Amino acid sequence: MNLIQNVLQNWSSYELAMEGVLILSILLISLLVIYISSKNKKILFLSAISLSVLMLVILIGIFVSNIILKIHITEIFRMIPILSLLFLLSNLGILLGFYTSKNKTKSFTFSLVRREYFKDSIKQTVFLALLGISTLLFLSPQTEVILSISILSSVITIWFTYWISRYFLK
Amino acid sequence: MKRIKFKKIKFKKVNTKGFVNYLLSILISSVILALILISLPLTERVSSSATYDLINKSSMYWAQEYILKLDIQDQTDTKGKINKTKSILQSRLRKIGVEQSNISSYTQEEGEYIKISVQTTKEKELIDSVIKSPYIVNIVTRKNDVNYEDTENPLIPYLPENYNPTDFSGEDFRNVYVTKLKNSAGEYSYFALFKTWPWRSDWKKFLEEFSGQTVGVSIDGFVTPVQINAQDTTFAVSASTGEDKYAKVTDILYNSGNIPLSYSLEKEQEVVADIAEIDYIKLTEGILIAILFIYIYLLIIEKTPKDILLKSGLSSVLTVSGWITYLKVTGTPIDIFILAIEVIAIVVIIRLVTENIESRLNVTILLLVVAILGVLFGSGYVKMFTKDLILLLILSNLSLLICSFYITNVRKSLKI
Repeated sequence: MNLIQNVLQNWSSYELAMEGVLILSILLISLLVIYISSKNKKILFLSAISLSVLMLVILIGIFVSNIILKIHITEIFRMIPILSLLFLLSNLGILLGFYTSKNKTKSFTFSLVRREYFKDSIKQTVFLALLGISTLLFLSPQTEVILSISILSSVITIWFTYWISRYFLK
Repeated sequence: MKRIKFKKIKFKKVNTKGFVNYLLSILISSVILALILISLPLTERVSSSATYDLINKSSMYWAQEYILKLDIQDQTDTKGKINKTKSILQSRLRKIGVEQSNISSYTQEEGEYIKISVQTTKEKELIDSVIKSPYIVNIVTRKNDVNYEDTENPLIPYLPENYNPTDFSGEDFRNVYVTKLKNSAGEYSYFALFKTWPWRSDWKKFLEEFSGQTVGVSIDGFVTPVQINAQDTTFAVSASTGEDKYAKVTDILYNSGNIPLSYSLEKEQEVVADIAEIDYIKLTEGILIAILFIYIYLLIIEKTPKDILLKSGLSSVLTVSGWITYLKVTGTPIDIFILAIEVIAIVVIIRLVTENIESRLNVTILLLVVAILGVLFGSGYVKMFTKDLILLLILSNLSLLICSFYITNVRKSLKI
């Protein structure tokens, strides 16, 4: 609980409000863009769950680094939600792009979307993991932690989204 | 007379399109090579005529801790007032563009204190002026029994005790517009124009009552005399500066809320800046080797089509080298760790988009949403990163188009 207490005591209401507005506006406007492009509620719900899970995973990631790994949380850690959102939204954007390009074809089924999403997620995971691991050697410890939490939380969320998509994309 | 017949000269149809494409391919090759050469570390040493080394911000950082002692006279809602003071101070620092700042409050020997830790590359003088004065604004009127023209005591017009307080304070104005106006000497300098709500008739009455007279604006124990113009209702206070950066600070101080508590600077001390030090040369080598190995892995193990790898690889090189060249040529200082994160993020995005070209528009729009909102509502490093991301997204999309055209043309020319 140290981290939450620390944030509540040391962050001014201006900072809390601005951080809240930033994250919430990104989530809401991204979901709006996703809905406008897909016009499909199933994809909207899937994306909403995915983004919410990402926020939760990031929070857990920061907690773990602070409490278990004893890493001092500084201002630079505010980059984590933005970076993770970039990685996850690019993954969701690919799902959206495939859906919008195929949904009017005769052979379209959601299982086709899931299959393609699975392939894309594997490629993205491999690329993120390789790039993350290989650059870790050259970065400062602080940047390493930021990049690791961002990549890990996005990869976990991407695979959670794939797993939960079986219930939505039917 | 015999008519001489000239043979018709037949010109072979020249393939202009092919020729132009060929020229463009050569041009693109040269641009790519030039960008790579300029962006690589230490290449500026090759030529003495141009200096275009990457400016690393890490040497520009300074860090300081400020302790402010709060003057709490009215004990009601002290916690709320302290929190409001912290919020306003933080918003002032963020508006001025401070990279890292932390504000906390504590009680010590029955006194209330605020501790501000700042780490930034901004000018210290600007940060000092934002922190050290609360900028509590009050409108005051002249006392009848004071001689403001006293030549033996020239400080009289500037001391608040020589004025009567009024009901008007900073909170009564919806906005203070800082702009350049002609002063009495006919030169341009900055003035603060006080604007109140249209329905506030009391302010209008006040201006009418004191029309043609001198009143004062008291800011933190110093009064600036203001002559109210008899012709119009403009209330303009001299900002005492002609420099843009100080005018910006004045604008921020006037328009970032009204601090409810007065305070004084108790202590300030320099601290060691906590910077994520990265060797730019090692990092460039590292990222280049990492990307090369990943692409070899994708080609051999993942069996990714060569076309996609070539296009995404070339686009990544063009985007990253174009970006670093821009930073070098314009002399824009950058945090190397931010640059590293930017490069990693854009390489991932380009690779994803190249393989899923039908999703390019969706991905770009979604990422632009993040970037634009980051610029609007973010602060410090987030704002810097998202600002750069907008440019990088534009650059990466352009690079993808150029590289598609280039690869197709080179293939046609070389017949492969």
